[in-house]
Amino acid sequence: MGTLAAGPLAETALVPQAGEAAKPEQAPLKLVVGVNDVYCKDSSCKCIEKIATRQYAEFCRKLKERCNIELDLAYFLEPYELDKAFLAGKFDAVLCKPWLVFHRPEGRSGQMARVADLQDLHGDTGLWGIVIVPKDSAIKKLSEISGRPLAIGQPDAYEKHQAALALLQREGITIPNDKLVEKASCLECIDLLLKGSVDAAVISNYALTADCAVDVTTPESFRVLGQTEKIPLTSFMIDLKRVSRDDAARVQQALTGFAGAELPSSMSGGGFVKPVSWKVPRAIP
Amino acid sequence: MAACLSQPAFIYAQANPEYVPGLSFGKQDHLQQVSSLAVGKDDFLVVASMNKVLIYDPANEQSVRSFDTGLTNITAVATEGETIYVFTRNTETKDVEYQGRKFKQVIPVGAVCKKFAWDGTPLGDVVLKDLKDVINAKVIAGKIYVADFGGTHTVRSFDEKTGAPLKSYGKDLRLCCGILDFAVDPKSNDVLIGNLGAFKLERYSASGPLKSSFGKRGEDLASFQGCCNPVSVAVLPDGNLVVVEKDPSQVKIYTPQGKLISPFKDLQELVKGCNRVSVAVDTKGRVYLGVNSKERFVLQYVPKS
Repeated sequence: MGTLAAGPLAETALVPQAGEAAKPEQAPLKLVVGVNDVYCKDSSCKCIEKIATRQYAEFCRKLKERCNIELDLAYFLEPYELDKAFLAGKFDAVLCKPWLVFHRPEGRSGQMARVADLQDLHGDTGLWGIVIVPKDSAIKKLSEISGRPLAIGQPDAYEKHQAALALLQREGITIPNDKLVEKASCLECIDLLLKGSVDAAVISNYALTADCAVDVTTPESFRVLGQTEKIPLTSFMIDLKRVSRDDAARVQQALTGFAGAELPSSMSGGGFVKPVSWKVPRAIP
Repeated sequence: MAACLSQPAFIYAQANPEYVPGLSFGKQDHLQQVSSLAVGKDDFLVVASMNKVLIYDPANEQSVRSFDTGLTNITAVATEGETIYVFTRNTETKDVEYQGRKFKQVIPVGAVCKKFAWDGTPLGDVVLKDLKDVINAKVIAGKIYVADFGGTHTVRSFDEKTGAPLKSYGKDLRLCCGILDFAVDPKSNDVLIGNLGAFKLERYSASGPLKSSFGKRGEDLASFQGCCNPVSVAVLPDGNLVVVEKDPSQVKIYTPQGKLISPFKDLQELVKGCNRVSVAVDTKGRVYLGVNSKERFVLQYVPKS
């Protein structure tokens, strides 16, 4: 069975600063931002167009008007492409799953800070892995997957790899290496499960409702045996080598300053909130 | 019947040319959309766009002929000999509820296949029995193959003369985004299907069973990317495969066994988001790609000599 990454843990969230709310007369601030948001129409698959309805144009317009902060958003359907562009230094900030940024403990990732978390359409900011089996499976409890073929994610997907391995460890479940299959997408894991190549799979919690899997199967086709720890689903992360800490704090205040009726309806009910604490192995900037 | 997988690798080793952009077809015709592509007699390119069929000499960017098919939205075009087959789907709109929200959904309820002569003269219809949908099609050796996305989620074959159903290919495909495309290997009649939800290109024998497959999602060039890929495939004259991915747009040549030979370089965006990409090849190995992005046209890639 795979092992968890070892190393000192460091906070990824920018600790909220006390101070005045950002005001329009403040100096203009422009950030180029790479975006891969599960629930955004411009960075999601067509098969979830009824779910991924969020659009940022109106939010950005209000942000500029109210806080003099301009966001120049570049949308990516493919996280690998966003990652490449991020590593190439194309952005001042990124809005995506934080593990995409923090899965490399060294380099550019070390200078990133999460200034805000983004809510999903139900007001949740969490991402977690779920252990599923087919509805008619003889496996009834999580402990029963011990020793059986299991599909999990690859190391660049925390909730279905590192968090999944931690869950197995916590529960005393052992999967022999030759029965642990790593796949890069939830769909591939689901494919293996539906074909009977594995007995259980760990997928992202949203995979059956807000991913291409909605075209392939239904949540009712599976039973959930367990879930991993929760981590942030989508965070706004700023490069502190390119943006001052003061400006990062200003962006944090500005993003999280839209509440209730002030939040444009085009954000589909999900706005920015202060980032929860999440520590990962990383080099301290 | 040739069995590609059992042929020695050296047959393909000589045919690993680099592909470079060639001509662009349809810009002067102001295509509203590239709905489907086929290659007909003398390697002429056949393009379906909305209700029309346009025919291009492979050496000339201006169409030599076009005709109105009478169908409002062609979903597929295919050729055999001097006959052009044009397909569409009849649909109904239904109210559906998903996760507590109500939507209108278009449901396919029947397939239409019309035949035309090379000059556009109607040659009658083929009634494909018990078929509800057709979003891609090929005609080879007296058989009509269709992608029945909305019905059985498989590729099906029919007798060209009688319209009687023959075989189904692709049990348990993981399809999404309304995409189901395929190719038929002219040498073996194997059916190649882009099982995009499983990130696999699958080869089914002419008799139906899965013969082989390759592919996975991954960051390396040989793997497939995006939320689901590959979306389409074509078979080159040497047996190698042209495999197409939508957003992010990629076209790569693989051996029949799935070894990456080369990617198309300097490829422009073929399509934005999750939409199909039509691909066709001719007898000289020239590749045609339907571009439905900022512009709508057919992009030719040619082997660099």
